[in-house]
Amino acid sequence: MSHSSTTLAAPRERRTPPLAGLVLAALAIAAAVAWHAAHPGQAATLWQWLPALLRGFTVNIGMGLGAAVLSTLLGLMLGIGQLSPWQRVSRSARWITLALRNAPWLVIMFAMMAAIPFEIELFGHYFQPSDWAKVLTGLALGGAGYVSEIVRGGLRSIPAAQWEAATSLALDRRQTLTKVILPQALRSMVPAWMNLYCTLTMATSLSSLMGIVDMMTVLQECLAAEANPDLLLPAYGLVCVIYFLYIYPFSRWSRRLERRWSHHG
Amino acid sequence: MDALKEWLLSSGINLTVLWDPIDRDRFILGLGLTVSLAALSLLLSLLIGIAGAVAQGSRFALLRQVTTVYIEVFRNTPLVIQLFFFYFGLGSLLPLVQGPDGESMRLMGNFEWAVLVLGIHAGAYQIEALRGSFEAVPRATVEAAESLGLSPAQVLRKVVLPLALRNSLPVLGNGMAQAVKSTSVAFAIAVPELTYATNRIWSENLNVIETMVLLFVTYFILLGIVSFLMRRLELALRLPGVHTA
Repeated sequence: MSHSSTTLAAPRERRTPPLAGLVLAALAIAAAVAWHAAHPGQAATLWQWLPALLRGFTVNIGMGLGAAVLSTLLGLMLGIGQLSPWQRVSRSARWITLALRNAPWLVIMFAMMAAIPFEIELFGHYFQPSDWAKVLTGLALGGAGYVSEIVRGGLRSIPAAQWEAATSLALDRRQTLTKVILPQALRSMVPAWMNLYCTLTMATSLSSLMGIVDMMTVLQECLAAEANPDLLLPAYGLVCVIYFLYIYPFSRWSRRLERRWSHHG
Repeated sequence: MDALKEWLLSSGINLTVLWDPIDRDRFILGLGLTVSLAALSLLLSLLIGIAGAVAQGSRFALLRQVTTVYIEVFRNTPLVIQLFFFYFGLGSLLPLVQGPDGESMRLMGNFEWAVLVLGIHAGAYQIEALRGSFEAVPRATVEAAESLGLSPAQVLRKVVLPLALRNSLPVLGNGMAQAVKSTSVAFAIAVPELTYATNRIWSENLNVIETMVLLFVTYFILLGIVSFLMRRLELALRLPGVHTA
């Protein structure tokens, strides 16, 4: 799309003002104090649950990291495949990417739970993939669709002259990709990739629907044991806070990189 | 139908959705719920997105701060937990009312909560997307409208919004696709949408593969329809001279 070059109202600097964080913290503390005054004793209960919740959260973090690594590998292959000169490769990579992007992650996770067999034979060894690994695979597949598009966009953003220059230096396609194009494309890909990491980590909370004992499952077990409906609101609020404290720094960082690199990139 | 059933069954495909009336009704209800969840939450998210984008361009710092806090909170926490927080946490605080069959029920059911939460969640993303479209409206156009004596509200309604919404169509398409996909998370609070309905079907009939393929294909077609409609809309609303084809 081409618009006139002048834009409306000098786009206000997208820096998130530190004030917003203070406002948020003040609001959260005020809400917590008000709730505490109305329901004494709950804070102590939640405090008791905290270690178990955080142990559950390590499952989420681990799954998020594993899914990020796996989806990056798969997505790199798909993304490079999408730009392959062989039509058969590029077309199937495009279709796989589209199919992965068009399916809800929850559904992909269900599919992997059902599709991965109870026992796999690999080089004469028998493995019994745990539910954990199945859900992780499902998440990674969903993420791979996004990585594929990130990679394709990143590679496409490198001017054709770079390809031509590399070819004229007698580099073959593989060398051109790994030595010339990818290192330059990486910059524009990193912020989007970090966003995906955040999304993947947040999506691990879906795994509790599949019977994985993550932070949510731990919380629900605690809540069921206590059987006090007044605890529901602060308990789910606490889990939100834990996720927020982990995710927010990454998403700030990703936005900073995006801003810094978009100016000269 | 019977011949088809015989043939499919003899090939080992137990697609009960086609012939079992209970499963068929479940599937159709699920499809309807998925589509209406997506449409309603998208509408809500767009309203929030427009209001938020205007608020972020506001002169009042407090308004901008509140909008930023909203965006950060909803973008940096998982959708399922938001859903639980609202449905179980806030929902349990709602007053009980008389239901249509005389039994007492909460003021808002799981479908209403799902629409609300999906809408609020997506709204946080729409604000950012729409802001970019607002900023892409040329300053000179706004000045021209002002010099014609239009009031700020008129400038917004008659000049900025029509252009900004056109600019936002590609992003809006993304938002629509996301809205359809997010509906599956309503599974968590037992809204019988597509994912929940098919999940019931395959756990009762043990026809996981057939039903799951059907589920994937259904989402694929739904999203295909979304992107087709968006392309048509973009073409229909294209302004010659402003947008290149």
